[in-house]
Amino acid sequence: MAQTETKTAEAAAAFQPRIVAFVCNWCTYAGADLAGTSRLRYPPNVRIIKLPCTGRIDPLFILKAFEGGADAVLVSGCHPGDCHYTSGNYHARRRWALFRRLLDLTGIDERRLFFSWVSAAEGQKFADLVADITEKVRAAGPLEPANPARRRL
Amino acid sequence: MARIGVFICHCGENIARTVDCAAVAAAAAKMPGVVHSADYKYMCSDPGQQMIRQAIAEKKLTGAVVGACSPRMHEPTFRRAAAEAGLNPYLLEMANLREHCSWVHEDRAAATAKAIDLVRVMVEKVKRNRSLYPIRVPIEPTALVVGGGIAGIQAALDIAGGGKKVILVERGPSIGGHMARLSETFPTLDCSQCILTPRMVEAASHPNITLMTYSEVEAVEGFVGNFQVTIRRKAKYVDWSKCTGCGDCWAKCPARKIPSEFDARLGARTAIYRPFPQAVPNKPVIDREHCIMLTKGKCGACAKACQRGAVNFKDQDELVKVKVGAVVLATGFDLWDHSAYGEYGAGKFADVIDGFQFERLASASGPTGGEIRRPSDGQVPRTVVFIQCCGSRDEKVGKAYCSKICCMYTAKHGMLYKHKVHDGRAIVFYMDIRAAGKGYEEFIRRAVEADGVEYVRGRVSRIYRRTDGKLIVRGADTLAGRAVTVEADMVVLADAVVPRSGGEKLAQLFGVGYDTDGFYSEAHPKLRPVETAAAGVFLAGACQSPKDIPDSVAQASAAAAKVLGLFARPELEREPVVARVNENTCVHCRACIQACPYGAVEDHEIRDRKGHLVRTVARVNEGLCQGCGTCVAICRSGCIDLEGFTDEQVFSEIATLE
Amino acid sequence: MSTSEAIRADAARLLAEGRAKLVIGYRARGPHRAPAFVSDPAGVDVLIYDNLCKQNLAVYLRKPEVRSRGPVAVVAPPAVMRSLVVLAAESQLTEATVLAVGPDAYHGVLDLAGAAALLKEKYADLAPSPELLEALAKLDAMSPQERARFWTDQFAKCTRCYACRAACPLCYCARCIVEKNVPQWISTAAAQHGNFAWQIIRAFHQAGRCTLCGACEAACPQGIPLMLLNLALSEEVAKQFGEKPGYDPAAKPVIGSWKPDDDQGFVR
Repeated sequence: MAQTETKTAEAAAAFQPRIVAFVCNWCTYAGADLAGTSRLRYPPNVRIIKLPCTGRIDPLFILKAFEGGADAVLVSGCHPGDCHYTSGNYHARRRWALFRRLLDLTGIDERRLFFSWVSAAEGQKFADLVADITEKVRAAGPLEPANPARRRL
Repeated sequence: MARIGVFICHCGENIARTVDCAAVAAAAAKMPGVVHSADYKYMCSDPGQQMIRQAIAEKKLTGAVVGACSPRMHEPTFRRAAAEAGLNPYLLEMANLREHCSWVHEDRAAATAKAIDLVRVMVEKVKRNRSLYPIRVPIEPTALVVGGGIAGIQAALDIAGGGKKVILVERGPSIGGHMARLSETFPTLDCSQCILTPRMVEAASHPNITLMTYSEVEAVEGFVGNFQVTIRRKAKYVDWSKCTGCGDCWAKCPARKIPSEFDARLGARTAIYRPFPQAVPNKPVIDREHCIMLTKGKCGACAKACQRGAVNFKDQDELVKVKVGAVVLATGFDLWDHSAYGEYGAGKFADVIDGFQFERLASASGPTGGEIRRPSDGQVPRTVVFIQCCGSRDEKVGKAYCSKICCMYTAKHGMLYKHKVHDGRAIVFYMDIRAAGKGYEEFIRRAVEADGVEYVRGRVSRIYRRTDGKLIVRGADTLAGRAVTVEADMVVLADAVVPRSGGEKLAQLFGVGYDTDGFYSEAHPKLRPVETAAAGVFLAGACQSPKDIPDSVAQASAAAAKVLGLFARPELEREPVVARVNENTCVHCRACIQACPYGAVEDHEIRDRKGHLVRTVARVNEGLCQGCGTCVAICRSGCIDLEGFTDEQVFSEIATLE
Repeated sequence: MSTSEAIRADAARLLAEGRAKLVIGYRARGPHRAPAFVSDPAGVDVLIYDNLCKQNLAVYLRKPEVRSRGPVAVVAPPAVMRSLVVLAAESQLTEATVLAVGPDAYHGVLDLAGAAALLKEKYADLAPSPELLEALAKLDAMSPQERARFWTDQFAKCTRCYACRAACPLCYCARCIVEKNVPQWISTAAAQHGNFAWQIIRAFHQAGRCTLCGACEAACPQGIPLMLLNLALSEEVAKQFGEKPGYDPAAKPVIGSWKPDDDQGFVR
């Protein structure tokens, strides 16, 4: 019994989640920069793809990431009212609200899809966020083999 | 075929300490399309940049990836280097190996693996980059200033002084705005007209300024550098080219009891009138709503009196189109209507007046010749109560914000009253005194200590009129902790400052945002306080938030500096990161048009050679597009793309991470 | 006079007066109902209406071969009228002539404004079927893995015939995203990833627009329960944004507009 538990824990620790992040240039990308200049530490599991604005983030991007085997996706941009383009994040927020429902219904639940506002001043928030979602995804385990979006040839 | 060069920077030890830069360069060398890969201690140094330039030239690179610090740090540096070597700067991308990798991770193997991923993503992206060229837009070096108050006048004079043409549009018959109505100004108590009227005359006579009074903006087309604005010149019924401003007409006008807007309804004017004696232009207009000839068809007294034959009852509104490169909105403010306060008499007591009415009573050119006489019976009030924050800082009935100017003008009113009625009592009810400004706190102290204005901290709960005409003011003195009742002869309410009526419509015409109170929104509350979200449209004065004269003038000069900066070059150069519509596949569902934060996506009619409409599609106006890409993600059929962040680029970036 | 007879009378009159060059309605084909295209007043006798008439005839109104015929009138139950209203809101139609039918009554010939007014007055609360609501609730009660398995099995049946798209009046794009190949976001192969992406994006592109007419699911030869996706999104649109598409021809798109206080409880 104890042995099994240790094995499970080891497997969970060995599992390195693959997380794709879509972030806006003006707030979250800059917030991630600040985490760097502040020499904060977070797990190396996230790969950032930079867009000008969360308004540019098409649900197709998220699908494509899952199709390619991502265990989770993070989408992050400017806080409401702070959008460099005044309202791109408001448009994005509506799309996410609906898209997450659709993915949840089809089996990609909230342990796989994260949304956040991280401003250019929130380096600590970015570092904490990445640490937290990495932990959560690790706890949830690999999305495979139940990833309904996964490419199989 | 793509020929990509990869340049990995050690950033001294900053990257190299955690990331094995040589291993990253070696891995990059094996990536498809990469023909050159190198690592170096300081890529941003002169020798580092020289490496990049040399490789571009020698290896005939079609794209480059620099794996170094954040692009927010050195992208301009490396793109410049690429351009110097003949590579279009937009064919160089950066992989963020420092802020996003070496500085945040400790495990060397994991950090190196991540760095390789980040480089791979950018290699795949840059293969799909296209050469981009700055968008050049010609600029019409004429400015439109909307609003002829002190802010508009100052902005117009500064722009004109900088050698550029200005069209100054004012809704009323004269420029001067609210400042012309003030008696004296805080904190110096200099006469408002004495400092303002020379500016008004200068604006009217400046060779670079075209004055369009009694006019309003009707329609706006175009974008920064190239606005086409339609201005409605309202019918004046007086030919100003003939009029000498002699005054024979208004002396004879039989409609004499029209409340004067200038005198805050305390005085009267005629139907053919100039708003005040120092008006600029100093020529009359006919108020078509009150003119007996225009409403009833007979009279014509003014026309008979005019020796120049300048009165023309057949005059009509005229639409004038002007082309301007920049716009300054300076539409100013109004006072909040305090009739919403039932407890203060709901606007029904003649002797409960607002700040402008007090200004006119105190003004030497006002209806009482500068004597403080109350409106109801013309008596000199012995006790005057001033109530601050009337409608301000009252989220429930009035406005949530502080109107900023009332503390100061109420102190001034108290002083002016005490200067004119030496034995009278001036009592001010206040919530807080906000006197931040040069000489402002001293001014308040002067009102209290030298002039004996009495300050009571507390709210007035009710005002009612006793049968003898006294206004009974009941309030609280929260410092003394007791109820206060004052028998007053007159009450002056410091009504909240609100934006000018019609401001929202004007904002919509120019694509400028406004807050829930109707104040125009600046592009950034701290760093871009005079710009708006609409490129080329700037703000001055109280249309943006409540402001006193010095702040309005300062912002007006700032707006003028922005306009002159814009006009300093013949062409506008813009980042080529803009959206484009594939008109072949667009079905014109208009989702993008509705979504664009800048109104940059427009309906475009495709016509055949004979001019017949074939179909309508969406088209992006490059002059307005700011490159956010919201329209791209909204388009269901993928008909729009964003230069620099195309679907192809993002697709390959994601695919690379598989 | 029965509803079918009333439709025939109005259709004949519209055609005779030239107010319509073509009337699109339903006719019987054995036990089924099929679309009828009538251009001659003498031919109106084929037109019928009963509760078997499920196809959304609005789908024909954007077809060039229909448009080129001149003014068209269409037999329209509430679902069809709602589709027309959405099409008008998306600048795909400027006007429409409908022979408005309800489950309970025939409302005569209406223009677009009349149809919108009728919808608001009589058909503001069109509830989905109890079976559908129950099926969605059952699905929501499953674990994510079970849901993934459910849809993986369902989508495995998809042959990518695109009948769902062809049946939907709101799938009017000149070039569907699935046919865009630079880049090819959605694989056209009838394999798991392409099928999943296609079905998800098809449903998502209807978000805030779908009127739950059921035409897509009815058209699916493989019996994939597409209405579960549509219903889940419709409920979310109503709950989150208070929007119900197909009632206001001047409505702004749900995706493409926003309110400052839109829910963001899910955003960290």
